[in-house]
Amino acid sequence: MAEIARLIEWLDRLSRVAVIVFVATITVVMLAQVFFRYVINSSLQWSEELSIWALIWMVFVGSAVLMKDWAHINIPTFTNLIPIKIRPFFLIFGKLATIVFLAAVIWFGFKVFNQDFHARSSSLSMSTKWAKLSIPVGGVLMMIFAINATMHDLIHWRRGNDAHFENQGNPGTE
Amino acid sequence: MEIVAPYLLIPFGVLLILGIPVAFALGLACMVFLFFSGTTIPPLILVTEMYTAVNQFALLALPMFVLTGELLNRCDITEKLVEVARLVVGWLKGGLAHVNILASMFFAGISGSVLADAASLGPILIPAMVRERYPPAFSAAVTAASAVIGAIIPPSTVAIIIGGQLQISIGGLFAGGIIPGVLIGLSLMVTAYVISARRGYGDMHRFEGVIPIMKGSAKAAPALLIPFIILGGILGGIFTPTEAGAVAVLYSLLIGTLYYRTLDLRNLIEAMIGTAKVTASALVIVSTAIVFSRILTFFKIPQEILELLLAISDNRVVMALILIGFFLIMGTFMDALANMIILGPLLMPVATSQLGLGMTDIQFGLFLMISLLLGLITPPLGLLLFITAPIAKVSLERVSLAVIPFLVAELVVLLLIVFVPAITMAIPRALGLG
Repeated sequence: MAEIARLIEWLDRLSRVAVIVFVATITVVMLAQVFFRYVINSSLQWSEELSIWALIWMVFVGSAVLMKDWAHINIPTFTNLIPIKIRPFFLIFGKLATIVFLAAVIWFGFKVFNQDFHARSSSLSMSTKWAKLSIPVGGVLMMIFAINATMHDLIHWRRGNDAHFENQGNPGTE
Repeated sequence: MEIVAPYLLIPFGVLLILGIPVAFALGLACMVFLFFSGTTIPPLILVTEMYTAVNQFALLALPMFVLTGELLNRCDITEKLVEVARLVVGWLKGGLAHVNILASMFFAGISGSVLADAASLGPILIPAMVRERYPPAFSAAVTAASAVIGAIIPPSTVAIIIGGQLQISIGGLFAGGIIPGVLIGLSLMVTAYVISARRGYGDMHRFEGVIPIMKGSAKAAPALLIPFIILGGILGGIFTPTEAGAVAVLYSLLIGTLYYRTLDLRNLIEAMIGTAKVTASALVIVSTAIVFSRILTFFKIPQEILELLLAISDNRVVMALILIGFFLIMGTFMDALANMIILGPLLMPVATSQLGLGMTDIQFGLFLMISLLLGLITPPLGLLLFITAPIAKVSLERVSLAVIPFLVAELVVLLLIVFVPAITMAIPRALGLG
């Protein structure tokens, strides 16, 4: 059990470091683009492709960071009306359904990655499959964190810790 | 509609009510459809469309503007903006309500997020208003209603996303949002003034003069310059929105470390993780909402909606009212962003067709944005009411009642946006963007 907790902790830290790198990449590359175009008067060829790849990876690894704390946007209005004693049943069902979806994303994600044909990025001279890989990889990380969140729910349910089931989720980011 | 409703729309509704995150409820509903409806659409589009949805240069602007906001939030900028607003409008009848609204408008030019607006200004201004004997429900209602401006006055994060998905110029949406944002601010101020004057809310303060305003502004000036750098850069054709965002990040890093001196490495790392979280939670919804929207478009649902609407009435006012009512209900029930991605492509043909409302693309984009954002303050489910009511320590029912006059004021502006194209189009046209 302690090993699992340590693994989760390590994966969480790894994902956080990764998204910091992606955010930094976008910022630095975009600033370099501005600098080259307006100061040196020659446009960079690779800047937009590199930063869009960083964005794609940031989205799907960032989704894993959110999943660790079950912080994806949901609508808790209706589940919060369910009596607290039976609410865990619904919340756990929601997590299991999410895990089913992630399994499909991982399965089809690797299938797409292994397809023969991918467009080539014109300026990075790399196959776009490496950008698409972000979806199944992010999917695997999300699934591990989702399973972890489900285990936590089960443990708290058995202990009768109702507070754990108050206000789960995140109502929005507009 | 025969197979879309039972295999896509109903599963989605059920999953959403069960509290499953919006992104995954959308994805699961698409899965149900692709596997069980007997459609010939290959299930692989689930992943290929998720990829295509995020693979858009226009979306790069999003993390840049989010990071700018995250950095400035760590410079304690909120208090400084509130102080400027207090010096400018605090002496009017209903002073702190006006301060709340004006501070939201300042904040809108920096962060472009509705929830960040309510979450930053609420804890400062609601207690201050209650101390000056404004009713808590009124204070919460003003904060919620004015927070909506956050995503209307540019830069706006939702404008970046819908501009990218609906192929509308983001610069055009930014330029077009200026007048509606200011008009909504003014309409809220008028409402707050009338209510405060009639019911004698709040203490009176005297005008402290122009010199204190200039002194107070000096502290906030470097932050208040940001919207001008961004807008000037984009609208003047110097920067793309993404480049303007990157320049704004650099600028906020500089003022945060050199002028305000509150940014350090730890703050910076927290701001970057916060940026990834906000960006990911928005774009992961976009990625699955796109699959959902593709299926709806494939089955020609937009045409069905147009025919349905024309069958009810071909009067533009009636059509606009039906659309607004529909947007408010959907906006109050579900995340505004997911709504925009799904309803945008669905209703754009209806709204822009000459048979329908005959709007321009930019006008429709702003109409869609603003009406769905107003869903956030529509009682009884509006998300902003849920956020501000606990800060004011008042029941949701009371805030729901108190917000109604402000909602009506904003709806009047929304109707003007539909029927007076100049409100949204004057600035984009003058700049050659529309």
